[in-house]
Amino acid sequence: MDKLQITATLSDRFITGGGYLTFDALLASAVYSLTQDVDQAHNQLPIKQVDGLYYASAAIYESVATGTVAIVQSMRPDDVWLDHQWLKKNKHGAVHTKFSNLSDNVMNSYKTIAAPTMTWYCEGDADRIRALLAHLLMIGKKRTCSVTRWDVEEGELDGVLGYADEPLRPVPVEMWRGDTSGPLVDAAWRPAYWDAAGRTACFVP
Amino acid sequence: MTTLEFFNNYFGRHLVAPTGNSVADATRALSSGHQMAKGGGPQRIASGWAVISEEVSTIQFKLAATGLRYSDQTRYEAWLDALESFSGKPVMLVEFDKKPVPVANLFRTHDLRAVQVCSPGGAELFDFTKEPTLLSGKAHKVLWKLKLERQKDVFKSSTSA
Repeated sequence: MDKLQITATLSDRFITGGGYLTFDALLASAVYSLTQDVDQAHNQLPIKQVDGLYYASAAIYESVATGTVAIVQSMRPDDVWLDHQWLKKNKHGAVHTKFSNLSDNVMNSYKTIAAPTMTWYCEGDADRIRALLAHLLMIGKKRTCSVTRWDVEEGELDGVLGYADEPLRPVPVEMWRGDTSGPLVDAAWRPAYWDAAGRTACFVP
Repeated sequence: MTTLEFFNNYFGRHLVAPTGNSVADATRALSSGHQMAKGGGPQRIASGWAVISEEVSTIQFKLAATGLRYSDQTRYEAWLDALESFSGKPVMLVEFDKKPVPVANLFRTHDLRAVQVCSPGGAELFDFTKEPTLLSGKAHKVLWKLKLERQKDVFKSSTSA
């Protein structure tokens, strides 16, 4: 395992949804897309892991502009992942096939951030990480932002501790060995990050 | 202790029998009906506020449950009291509405620099050691204004005495 710096060159605004966009979560999404195996996606990434904590930083970026975008989420029958039996039918018993203002269509507004690049630090296997990144064409919540280029280079940080001993990712109080002057925040510190059951007091970036 | 263990231990267990599944227990406490102090059928907590802490948890909605403290204060008065008496031990500030608060929106406040107000629509995070800006959320602005009003009242009463 080597200390690495990963940089994504972004084409458009991205949506974080308020999360930290940790690098292990990013790789987990690629592994899950390829294998459909949750355990592999959460526990067998090519990144150093100690007591469940991945040595992979949250996304680091410099925001040049912020905005909002509204996304219509439509229950489209063309989505192969959803069995047609679950979709709302019209009076003829057929599945709706076109966009409409029916209650199946939900429009949500998201905050967007514009940044030319996004960077992560981690300790991991560079070759296996490169292979997984090749499958990551879009990033962020709703996958609205495409990545035009991935760079994986030798880095100086382990993905947990920053240059000034600050946390680079959410780390539970009991596991944190760096600067403790920052405020504690409840956060998920290991996958699955969406699961509120795993949320605990952490030092965060 | 995780966020949901904290919620269930100091609040949820007074409303529903614990099953060991922290997500399911917290969801039931927030979404199911509970006996009211005034009697009648069970009702979901659909208004008011709660301040959950290790010492005692306070709620505005008058339930029949024992083990909780009930208060008629406004949400901002109650939350400001909790923040002004903050001792470093975590507290959870919750705002109830018709729509239940999802467990994903539950966060504790461990530090006045990262205060979290949990509501059905999300969790507002702000630094209560700093003055709100134009972009700050409603809770931060209202709590700060109330804090200044209290300081003025204290100053007036001390100068008139």
